[in-house]
Amino acid sequence: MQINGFAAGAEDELADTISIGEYLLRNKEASYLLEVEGNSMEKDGIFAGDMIIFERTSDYKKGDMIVYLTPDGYRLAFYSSAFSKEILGVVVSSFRRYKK
Amino acid sequence: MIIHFDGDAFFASVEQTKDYRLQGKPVVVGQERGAPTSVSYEAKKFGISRGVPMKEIRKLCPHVAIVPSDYAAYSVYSDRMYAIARRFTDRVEEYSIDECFADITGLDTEYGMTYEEIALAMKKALEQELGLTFGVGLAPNKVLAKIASKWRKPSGFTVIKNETIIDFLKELQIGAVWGIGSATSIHLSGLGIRTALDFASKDSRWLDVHKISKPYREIHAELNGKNVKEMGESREDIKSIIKSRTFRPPTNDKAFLLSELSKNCEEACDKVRRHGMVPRFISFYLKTQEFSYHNFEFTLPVPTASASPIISLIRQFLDTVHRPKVLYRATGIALRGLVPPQQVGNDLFGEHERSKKNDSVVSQVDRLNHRYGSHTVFLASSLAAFGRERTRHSKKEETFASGLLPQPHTGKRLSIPFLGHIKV
Repeated sequence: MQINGFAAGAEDELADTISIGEYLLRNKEASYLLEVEGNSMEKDGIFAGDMIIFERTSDYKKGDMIVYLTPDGYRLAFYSSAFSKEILGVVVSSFRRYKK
Repeated sequence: MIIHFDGDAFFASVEQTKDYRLQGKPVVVGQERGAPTSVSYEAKKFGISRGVPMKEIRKLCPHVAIVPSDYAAYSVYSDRMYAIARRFTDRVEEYSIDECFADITGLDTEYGMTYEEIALAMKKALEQELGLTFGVGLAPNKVLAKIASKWRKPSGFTVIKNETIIDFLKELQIGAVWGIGSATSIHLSGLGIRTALDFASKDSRWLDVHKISKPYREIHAELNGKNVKEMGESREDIKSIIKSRTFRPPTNDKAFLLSELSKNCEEACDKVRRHGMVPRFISFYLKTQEFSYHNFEFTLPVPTASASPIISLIRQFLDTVHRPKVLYRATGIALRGLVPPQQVGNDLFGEHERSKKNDSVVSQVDRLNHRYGSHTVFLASSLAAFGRERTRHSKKEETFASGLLPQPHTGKRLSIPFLGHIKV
């Protein structure tokens, strides 16, 4: 697509504003926030203090980051068919603040 | 067919999802008051009910968690309940913070599902996404649906059919029927009526002789399986007009979807003009086969009740909601923030003058359509939509109320419950 003689980028770059909520959420009514504690998942890009948004759903597949609940609180894992605990939902996004 | 959804120990259950440490434990809400506003099922086992004074509660259950009411949180979960119900039908009545009615009449043919399957799908979505349980009743009317939702709790699902009404009414105290207060129930028991069935069995002559007034005649009719009580409005005032339509087969074709939206828009504008109003905001949505909404809301540069400038804006924004490979089954539009045209001020760039010129064309179109029947003249952009057969229930999807669309993601407030920390 050409706009004013310049080649336009990907479709979603055409919008000149972006709603952060819409960008981070998939199904708003099923979405919940958790704040990350600990650093065991830094290799996966999850750092202490990050906020993650998970969606309560039973729709997840192998490799999805999932949230489950233990008596000691919420935990993250990557789903595989061997996973036997009750799953609350799937992580849809995360965000991090550097300054406020 | 009407469904009634009733949140089980709603406030206490929300507290349990907000703080996982309260799950499975006796919880009482209302620390700030003399008596509980809500009691969890675990606490009910200790004989705690809403009638028990706070100072007695610790004696009944020393390890009970007593927490203050958090109405802001309850209303977030409540709004989510209404929004999830509205994915399935526009005809939702927000009865109270923890209850709603949904009219699903006719949706069985539209969705190719039985009424029971639809009710169970709604129950599953609510329970899965909110992490709360609901008592759900499916019945031919609101009075019976209310009886059904209370029948089995927590997380019950009860269907009352015309042929099984008697089984539900014969043991039910008349005072337990929705709308029959304690004074009425005493009055009726003076007339020899003890159960709901005693009342339902009376004939119209009996109702006349005992001067039974209209609201109780309605209850009488509904106990006999008739549907006479109307669905209530939303809590909010009427501030918007909504038009939507389901089509078959579902499609991803952007041009077709735009023509459907164009038609929705023309119809909504036609209606808003008849009310002598103009909208300030527009939201439109594409509804997927999974009943989720991809929607977008924008502010009109100049409030107008004329379809063509609105459609050009929708055309620009369609790409932001349309996703590749997703099949859509319906489109809809809401004209929001309705005001009388006099309230609209002039703008800086003369848009308003331009749109006035357009308005004179629009009023000519209205005159033609009024004279020769609706849709005699319509925008070319709606052509494809007019060519398609209307589905049977398209008429019923017309709604005149506010808040019938789920809040778009672009809305001003995004309330996502924060559940605490996650250890990694």
